Amino acid sequence: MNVEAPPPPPPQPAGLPWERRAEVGAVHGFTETLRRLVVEPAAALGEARRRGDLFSPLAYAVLLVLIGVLAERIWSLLIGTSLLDVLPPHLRDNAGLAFALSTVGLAVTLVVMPILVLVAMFVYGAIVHLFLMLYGGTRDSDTGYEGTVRALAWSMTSQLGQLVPFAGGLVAMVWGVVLQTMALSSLHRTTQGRALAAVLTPLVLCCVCFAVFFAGIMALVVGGLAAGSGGR
Amino acid sequence: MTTRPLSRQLALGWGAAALAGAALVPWLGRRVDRLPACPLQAATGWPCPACGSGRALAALAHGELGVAFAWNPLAVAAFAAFALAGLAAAAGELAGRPLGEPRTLPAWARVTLPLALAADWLYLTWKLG
Repeated sequence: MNVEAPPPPPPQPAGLPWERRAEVGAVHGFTETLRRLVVEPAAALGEARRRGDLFSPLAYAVLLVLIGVLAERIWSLLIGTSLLDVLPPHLRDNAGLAFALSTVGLAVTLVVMPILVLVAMFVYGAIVHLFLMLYGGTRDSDTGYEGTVRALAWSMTSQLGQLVPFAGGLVAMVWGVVLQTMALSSLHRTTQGRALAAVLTPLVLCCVCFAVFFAGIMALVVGGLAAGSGGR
Repeated sequence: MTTRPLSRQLALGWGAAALAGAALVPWLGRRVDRLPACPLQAATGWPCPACGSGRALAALAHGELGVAFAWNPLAVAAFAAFALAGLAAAAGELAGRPLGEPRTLPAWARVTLPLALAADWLYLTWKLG
């Protein structure tokens, strides 16, 4: 296998505000990138850099995952606190200890999570990239595997879905599929159909368990609500 | 087959991810028991293509490569390929000889990949079904 001299690269986009944080400020760069990826994802992804500074999208992904974890934690805390009154006394007495243990768990999570996110970006990126190649989605790409890792990192914006109570995980997953499709299509200059196929195939093959699990949970919740509201 | 060179940051990041992934295997392997059982298999009796990956991870955490391979051969082979390729990419970059990545999948890989997935799932069906 010979390494070809790379073709002349197309002009590099200006970059998202987070990629230009040295000039616009880190906080403004982060919030503005977040806002743009939520409100106008197609235009924002068109501005994302295609090479160089891989640290920026990976750091953005880590921050978004941490926000998602904290949001999920806060919802659990709020819902747990509101349920304290209905707990039996012996369980209520142990609630403080349970809270302390879960706080320690959260601290450990915050330390381990950035490493897990980095590994996940590269592992999941490799899987998605393999399927994108299988479907011919990298033929016109000038970014390769790096483009896929970048696309997945920017798509972590969907972790904001965790802010939705109860169904946050499901919202984040569906939104993630949409954003990943748009990002892969933009960074690899391929059709959205190929990008969607590359995103969905590993989900269907490897994560069908989770889909069934979520469907089962939703069915239980909906069934429980229906049973509660009907009858009497 | 034409290739494009891997960027320096990608090669080093990939190598770091491979090392971190390998370092996390013991930590993750001890937590596999907390994962729920495969709901697809529980509901239908059929394993999903990822079935056995958690137990393979637990076996890897104990250094039992053969046992891990028996739980899900494709998952273990894919993880090993990912880690070795990452380490090779980083080593090549540090040695001043960056590796290349293929622009498209060669024809043999287009045939082999779906076949490997199907064969692995048939094996899992025989072993776990």
